Amino acid sequence: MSFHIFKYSFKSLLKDRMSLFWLLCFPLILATFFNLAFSNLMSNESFEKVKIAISTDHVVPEGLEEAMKESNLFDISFITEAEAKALLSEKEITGYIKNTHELELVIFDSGLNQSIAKVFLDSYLQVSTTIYNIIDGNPQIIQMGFLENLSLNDGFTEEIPASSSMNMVVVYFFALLAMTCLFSAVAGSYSISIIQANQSTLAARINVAPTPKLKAFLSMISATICFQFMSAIIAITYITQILKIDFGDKILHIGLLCLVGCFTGTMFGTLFGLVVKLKAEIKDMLVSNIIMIMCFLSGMMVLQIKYIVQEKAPIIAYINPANLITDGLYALYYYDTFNRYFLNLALLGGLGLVFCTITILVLRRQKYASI
Amino acid sequence: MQVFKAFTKIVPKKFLGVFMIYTIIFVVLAIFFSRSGLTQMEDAFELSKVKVSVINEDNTVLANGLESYISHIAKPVEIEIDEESIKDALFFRHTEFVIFIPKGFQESFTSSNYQRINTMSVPNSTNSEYAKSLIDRYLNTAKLYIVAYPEISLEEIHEKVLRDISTEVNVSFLDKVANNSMSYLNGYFNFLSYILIAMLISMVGRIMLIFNNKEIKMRNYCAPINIKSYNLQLIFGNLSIALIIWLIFVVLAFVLYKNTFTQTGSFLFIINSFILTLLCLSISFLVATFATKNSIDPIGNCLSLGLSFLGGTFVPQALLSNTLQTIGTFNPIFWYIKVNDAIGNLTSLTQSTLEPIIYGFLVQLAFVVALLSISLVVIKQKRYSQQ
Repeated sequence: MSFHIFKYSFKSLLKDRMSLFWLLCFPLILATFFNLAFSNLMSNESFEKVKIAISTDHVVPEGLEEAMKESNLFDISFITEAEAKALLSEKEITGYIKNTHELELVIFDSGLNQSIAKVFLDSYLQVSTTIYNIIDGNPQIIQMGFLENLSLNDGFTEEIPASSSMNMVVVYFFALLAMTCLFSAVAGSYSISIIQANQSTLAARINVAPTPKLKAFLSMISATICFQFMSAIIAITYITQILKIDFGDKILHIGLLCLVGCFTGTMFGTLFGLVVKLKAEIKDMLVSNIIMIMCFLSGMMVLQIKYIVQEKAPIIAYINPANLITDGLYALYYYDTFNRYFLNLALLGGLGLVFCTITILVLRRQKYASI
Repeated sequence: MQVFKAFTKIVPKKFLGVFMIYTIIFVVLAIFFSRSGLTQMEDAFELSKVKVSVINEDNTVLANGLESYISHIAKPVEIEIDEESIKDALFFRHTEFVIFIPKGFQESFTSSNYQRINTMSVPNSTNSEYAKSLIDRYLNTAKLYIVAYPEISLEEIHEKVLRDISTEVNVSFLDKVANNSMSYLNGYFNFLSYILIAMLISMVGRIMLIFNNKEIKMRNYCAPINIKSYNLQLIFGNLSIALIIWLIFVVLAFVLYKNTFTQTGSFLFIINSFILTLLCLSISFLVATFATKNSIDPIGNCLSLGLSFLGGTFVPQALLSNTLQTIGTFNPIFWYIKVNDAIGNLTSLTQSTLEPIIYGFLVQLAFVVALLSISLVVIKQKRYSQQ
């Protein structure tokens, strides 16, 4: 009997075009948009040489060109000031340097590349000042070979590699997966409306049948979870294989987290459907909006939100299922250890169990003499 | 005016909820964006500030001097000193460069195998290169002084270094003064495009669905009212909804960003958003001609998200790939954002600066006309096929 109910719940989910769209197609469409829109987002972070022109109308200060070449920061060209102006207004170059009576940097607007150019020129001026000051205060120092032993380009830093997996954009996709899993709440809320006799005529019919309510409920729920897990797997496959987003190689762990996520999502939906007594349409809208807010808090629209919530209100981060899923996936992607992943997994599962227990406790033994 | 009256009865009853939800989400997001957005520029030129966190374990004169210099020139960010917090902060770009000054740094500074400063950063980023150069500059200058004057104290050296480092090159702008105070309004109106299109499709689309219901339509057509006036009243109703929504959001912008609203060009934002309203209205009209009760939500969501993502509502247009920018020519929202950004960068109202903006207005209006005529054709076709 259980399998019978399971089979037909599953079939009715597959046949319902609305659920098929929201639970399966919508995440895929969103993923495509994310991919199109964010594909260039990270590329501006990698370092490119600053394009800068030196005006040939004036005398170029001694040593400047060598210093600029040595620094390996600039792509230098020598052109007249008029040409430089034209290039600058088309934003072909970051700025140009002219040396009328003192060094001057002409730019179009502020920005990082302009800052680099300015800081470099500052440093050129400053080093000249320093050397001038030192020689001025202690002229004998030149005889001691001071100028020959000048070392100005010592490196004082050493990089500790943080992690090569630093692509921030994946968090959008993680949050999207969280949304896919949690959308099962809509189906969960629907399954309550066909098991709770006072909510629909179909439910009244099902309750008349001699199948125990728990059995019917659990079969329907497992159909929902299965269906949602399937669409999560399709979404993962689509994102990693077709859109070529690198999720790391711990694919089994990702799958497990999504399964638990689907469970928690469904249970959230059933609890919501049970507690809130409104029209079906309004319920659906409310559930999906709550899920969207959860996803928003876990960074689906604005990435930094996730970090801000985690820093400012860690409790919200720990009870928000969307954030638990996103954070678990993030931990898998970014950290080498599994502690944080398992913490998230346990919290998510625990949350699901709590929802489940409350649902079953409320649901059991409700009888109606008349409806 | 019976039709219009029916219209005004349906709207508050059915769509106040939708309207409230969208408005609340939008206001929260708009406020968030303006808080986290760029700080206003005061000087003509401001160095881009890299977010740097210094973890100073040495606490000697040299280390403290370096720390205070870095905090002065970069944007210091406090983070917790455990590995997980540091890594999280780096990943979400809360900080971009973490500096660990090890114990005994000052002692070994002048020796040949000095202790290095450990850094952690986002790999290969411009910001971390820049931060590195700041550290090297301070320390190199300090070293010069130490070599030249071995007898003076480190405090004096710090002062000397600071004095030298404060020499700066002159910076001038080509022909404009950097002006960034419009960026809030720009962001607000860019984001408005998503909200307006989503809201209008879900509201206007649904209202039209009610009126397009076959039985209701048949009943209405046999009423003693001519079809022309019936349609005109419908259009009038839809227009008034759209205008009310538009007015609310413009007033909201006025409330949120009082001081920027008096600037040149802010009225251009209002004109542009008005054209956008017409545009969204015509899109919703078109959608309503073929959508059904069940499909309007999916279609609306895909259209609004798709057009906004591809048009650059969420991601700055400059960062979109080249193919997307080409495809964007066919996307009305892309034009809207393009005009908005042009207005945001506007410094003076001259013919040459206004030309691209007016051109953008006209392109959007052309879209409005095209979309409306398509939907009229579809409506007419449908009427014949029903007979």
